[in-house]
Amino acid sequence: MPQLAAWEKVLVNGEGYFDTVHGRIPCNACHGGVGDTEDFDLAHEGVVMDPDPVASCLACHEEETVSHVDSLHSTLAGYTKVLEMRAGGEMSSGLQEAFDLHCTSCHATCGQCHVNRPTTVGAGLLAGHDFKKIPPMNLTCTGCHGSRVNDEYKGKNEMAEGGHYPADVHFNPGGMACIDCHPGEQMHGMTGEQTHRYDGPPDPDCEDCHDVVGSNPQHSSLHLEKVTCQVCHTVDYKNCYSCHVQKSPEGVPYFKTDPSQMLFLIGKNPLKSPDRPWDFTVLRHVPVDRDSFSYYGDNLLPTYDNRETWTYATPHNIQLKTPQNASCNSCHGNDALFLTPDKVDPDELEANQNVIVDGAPPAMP
Amino acid sequence: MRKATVATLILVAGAIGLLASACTGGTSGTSITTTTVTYPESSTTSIIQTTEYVDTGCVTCHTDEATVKALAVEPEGGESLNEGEG
Repeated sequence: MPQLAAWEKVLVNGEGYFDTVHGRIPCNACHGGVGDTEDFDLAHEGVVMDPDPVASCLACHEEETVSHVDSLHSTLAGYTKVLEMRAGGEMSSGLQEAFDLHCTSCHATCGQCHVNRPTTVGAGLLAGHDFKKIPPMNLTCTGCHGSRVNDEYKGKNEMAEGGHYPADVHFNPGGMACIDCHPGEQMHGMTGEQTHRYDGPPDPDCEDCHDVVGSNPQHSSLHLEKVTCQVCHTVDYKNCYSCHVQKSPEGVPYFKTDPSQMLFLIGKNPLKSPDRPWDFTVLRHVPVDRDSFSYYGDNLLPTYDNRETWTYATPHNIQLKTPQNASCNSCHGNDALFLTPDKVDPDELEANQNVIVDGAPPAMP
Repeated sequence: MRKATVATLILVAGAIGLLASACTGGTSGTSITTTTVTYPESSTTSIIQTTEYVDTGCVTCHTDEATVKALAVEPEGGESLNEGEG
């Protein structure tokens, strides 16, 4: 998204903001600092750019705040969970240092959705300090969920042969914003305790809106029981590889990743459970390497193979008609669509044993 | 005249008596339910206690475009060292 100039980030709407409920709260009640001086340095002593939700929001928004502090957007528990799986069950000090420096910029306070752009994209007031009950998705959600979700959802990914992959039909022509499927209750962690976004049953669930049973011949009970909706209704999505993090000689943290690839691959469902009973799902490659964090210590991922690198995915590029659902044998007998061993980096074969398939289901007669 | 005055006094007294019995909620069958209204005490941690804070300095600067343009500091540092998709 376009970057704001420094002054744009802090210019408050003097015409309307102070007539709002939040505008009646003194600035330094949330932000600290010294409010009765025009001395620049003194005024900003102890100032807090991004107020703590408990200190600032709890008094009036108790339910949301109490839930939010334990939500995935606040705790980033999904990341620590998968790292711990590869790290022998707990974060070592070196891994924790790496995580704190490189992975926590997407930690979302109340302000980073409702007042400000996320810190990870440079922050800055959304609209003169007006509080947005519904955060604008193009400035908040996609600030953090940019590389994959934003590009897939809006049809920004380029095709090798030219042109762009189509946008998710929920965006175009559906015109749906993120919040239409991911409401505030979910964002605030009010829909149940989670340590990962795929804990529990799918939320949202396609069948919340779509009556799929019997709607067309391909929605046979066999398909509905065996494959996720995404297997038939997504197209190529971004897969990322080999992220390595480190610091510059000046101590500036940075990362490097190998070029991403647009691929569509079906494999076994690594999250098979009563909540997610399907045998097959689409899989996305995540950019973790055995030595992704080697700058911060040796052997920080001793149980790297405990989790697959081709992971359960729900690409945000839903289409009604896709190459694989054009006909039965567009998928059946088509090994190219499936995560077979030849498509997996040899160093990752062990990690992906639970998702690799021998080949496509047999072709239909 | 005197009879009219006495009659008036009797009527007024009777009305006052009716009102009094109604207010006391006696056994006449009429009663008024009273409700005690209480207001929650202000939280000592509430940020809406405005008397503690003075923010005239904040508002004066941050609502004036010319001022923030003159004073806002661009972040230090050159190009990002990041390579590839984040």
